[in-house]
Amino acid sequence: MARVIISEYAAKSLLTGGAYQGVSVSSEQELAELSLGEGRYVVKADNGTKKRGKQGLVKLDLTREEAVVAARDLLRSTASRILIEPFYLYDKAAERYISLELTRAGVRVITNNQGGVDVESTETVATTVVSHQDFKTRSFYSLPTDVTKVVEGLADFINETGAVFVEVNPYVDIGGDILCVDFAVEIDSHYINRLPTWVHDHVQQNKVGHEAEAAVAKLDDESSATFSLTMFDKDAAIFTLLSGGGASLVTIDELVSVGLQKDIANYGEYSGAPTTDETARYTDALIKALLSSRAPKKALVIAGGVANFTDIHITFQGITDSFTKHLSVLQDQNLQVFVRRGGPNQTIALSRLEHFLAEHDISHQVHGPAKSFSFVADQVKEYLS
Amino acid sequence: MNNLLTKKDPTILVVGLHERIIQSILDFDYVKGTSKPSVVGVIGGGKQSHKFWFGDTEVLLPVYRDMQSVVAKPDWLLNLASANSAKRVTDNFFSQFKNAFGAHIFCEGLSEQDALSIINTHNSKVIAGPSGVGLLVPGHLKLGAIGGILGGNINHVAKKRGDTAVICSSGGMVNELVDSVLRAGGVPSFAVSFGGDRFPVTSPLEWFLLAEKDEATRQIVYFGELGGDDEYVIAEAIEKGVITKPVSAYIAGRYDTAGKRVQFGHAKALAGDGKTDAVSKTARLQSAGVTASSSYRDFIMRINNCKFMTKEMEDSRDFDLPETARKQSLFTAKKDESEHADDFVPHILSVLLEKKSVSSELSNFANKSFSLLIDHGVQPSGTVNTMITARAGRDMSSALASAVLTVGDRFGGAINQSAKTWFDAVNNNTGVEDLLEDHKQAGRPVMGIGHKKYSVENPDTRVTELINEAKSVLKEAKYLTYALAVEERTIQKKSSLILNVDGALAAILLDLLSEYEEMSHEEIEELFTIEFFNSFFLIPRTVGFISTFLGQKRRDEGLFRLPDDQVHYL
Repeated sequence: MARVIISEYAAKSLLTGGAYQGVSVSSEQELAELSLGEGRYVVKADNGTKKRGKQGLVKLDLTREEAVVAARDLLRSTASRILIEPFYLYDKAAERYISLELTRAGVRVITNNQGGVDVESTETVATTVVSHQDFKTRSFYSLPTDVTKVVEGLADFINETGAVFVEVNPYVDIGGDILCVDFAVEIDSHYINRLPTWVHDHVQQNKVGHEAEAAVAKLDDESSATFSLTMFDKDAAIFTLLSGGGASLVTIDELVSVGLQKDIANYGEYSGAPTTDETARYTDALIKALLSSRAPKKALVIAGGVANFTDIHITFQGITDSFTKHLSVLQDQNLQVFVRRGGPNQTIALSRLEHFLAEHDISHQVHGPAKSFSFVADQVKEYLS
Repeated sequence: MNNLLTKKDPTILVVGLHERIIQSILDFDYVKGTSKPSVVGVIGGGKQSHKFWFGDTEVLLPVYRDMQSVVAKPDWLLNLASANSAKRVTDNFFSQFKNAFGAHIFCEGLSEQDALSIINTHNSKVIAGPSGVGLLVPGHLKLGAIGGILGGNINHVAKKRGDTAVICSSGGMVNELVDSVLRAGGVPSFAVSFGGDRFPVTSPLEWFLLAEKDEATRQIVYFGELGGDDEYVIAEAIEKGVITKPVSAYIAGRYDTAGKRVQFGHAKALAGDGKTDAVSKTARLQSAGVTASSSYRDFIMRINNCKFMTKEMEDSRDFDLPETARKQSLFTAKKDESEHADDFVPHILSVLLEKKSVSSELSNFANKSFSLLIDHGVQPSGTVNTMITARAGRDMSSALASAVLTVGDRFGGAINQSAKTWFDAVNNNTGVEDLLEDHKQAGRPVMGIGHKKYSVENPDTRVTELINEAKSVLKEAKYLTYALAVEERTIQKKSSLILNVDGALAAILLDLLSEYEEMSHEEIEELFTIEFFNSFFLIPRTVGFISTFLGQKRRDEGLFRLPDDQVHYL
């Protein structure tokens, strides 16, 4: 299943149990209600961004007053979640790097005895693949002895959480205790529901935070079918309503291939035989996004391959139900609808959709699987130019 | 493994009763021209069989509760179980059917850990998925939804193999590609959607190796996606000369996310993860000499080779058996083909067992037992009910129904359960002591042992007669011997714990069915499931109930009311 990033706060809490002293803040109100004790602090953006150090998203060695100010600044500028944790002083030269990742051949362990922000530029990297069997029985003989203790701890963590990738950069050995300074974790989303419920809010969506994305995420949670939506540019001209993991990619590819990359507003996909109601909800979210786009001329591309068993008639019925709800505003848009789809009941589904669009004066081009994805891309380009 | 793609009529076990997918496989089989469906059984659904269409006639496919009950030896597993049980189902299948070729795992959302475990445990098998729509070998095998359901391209892929291997990450796109190959005038040698997860069980490279080894395959059409490093591995194999057949490839996912982490449709399709983007992987394939296109249009043009479908092909695109021709029947039944049409007891037995004829040993015994069980005095619950209902002025059917409703575990309905007890104990070599201890632990009596009225001191003469009759014909009598051994032990505890008429009937019938009707264990198991044994009480006793009814009507004593002294108020 798909890999998702969880916040560093969640990762460290799960790693250390109740011992972790960091706090997580996702709004200024939460920050205002926070009471930090005396001490020195670190403040980090904690929304899955990589290379935070280089981007100035990590502030070290702050008083508690400075920490609150730094956190507020980050919340106001880029980060949706902030981690505040105690600052420890240690010798920079003791920084080490380690990452573990699940691969086909085994668990790939990458170590580097020079950790820190510049790890990628050093040439002291060692890669070892521990077979799945050895990993299960904790046989780490192929690894340098000084890292086996760290790997053992991380192996337990992987076992308990379903993590598929962990990276500690850096960690330091302070008198036998391992301090994980920075901790990045990816989890197999299959296991998310087995973790404590509060962790669910710490899954990094890495989206622009458009309300359509939130609506689709909720729909996906509630349905046995699959729905996804990622907004690229909310004011772009081409909105896509796609089905199937592969065909959705190809539709986007063909638009990119005719030079329309910058005009694509979103990627999204539904599959797994959704019901009429569910498809209507998905379409609702997309139409709302389309209506709020400031593009002068808009295209809605409804496309997919030749479905194996998703009933086209059922899903298209959902699309027209949603259109009916937004009919008057849609008619005011400078909009054209492009359709390319096949599968069970395609003949009746395509002709009804075409009839519906014609009846309500929405300009359209409706095609079955005899026309290729490329043909539709050409039509969209011609319409927009 | 060599005939994996070429075995003429491979067989499939399906786990998960997904009607449309299974029906599409039977449509493929029918068009292919086989005499019977490739699906030899379905697990799940809580019944004995399920109706499907084979052409325009209905067939019943056996439905099993668990894998141990499967009689056939399937070549393939079509695993439609959920992400939480798909691994267990796969493990069970291959531990039971060690010589099977492989499987398709249909579910999405299988954990990476489970996928890796399947890869390591079953590395000698060919397994399409997890996710995707399975494996299609034209003229041979349709393992999954691949090729679509009714309609679509079934006509063109059911009959014979061509020379183009279609290897595709996506379930939807594999049908597009099969369609494109057909439009170009070709036919796939096989087509597979290996699945969009990070760890497909049989990896893309392994599918390439299968195509390389397969004599029918002359070229490979490959569709991959962004994410993962499979294409690097494939490029290396081509450079090393391990793959020599020409490859035409396309890697989807060319939208530039500018290094940003974006999850596209399939689990593996994660952008922003180093060199695993579509553009880099396309370049790597090109450097190994693969015709890797940078647009889907070019890719399809290369497959099409500027040849298009002929008018005849276009006209015959749809499966020529429209769904409306299939009028579903409400029930299925077997015709009475008994050879004992004029002999009552043998005729009864042959229709109950759905056999043309039955042995004289079984008939004679049934004749005797039917006779002995017709009537049993006025006190049993069923007879009392008959009389009360008759005296209330009701008709024969109502009186009989009220009587039959009291038949169950406590009265006349324990033969079936008792037969199951003897059967399991004998065939699992359960010792008498163990059997009694198990029942004691579970706090339930042994069905077929004990009577309210009869005991060692006051024996049930019917049981004695039945046993004597049986002993004169049975050769081995293993079930009866076991039942008597149990009785010998239980009467030491309490003299009423005798082998009762249900228990004796059950044991003797089992012996007769295995010795004279030569029924297999599976056939006898089915008789428990359909509650066959209880008919040996119901059939004769129905006569008894009717006679009680007629007697009451003759004398007509008027409405019955329980006398005051028969009620004790608390």
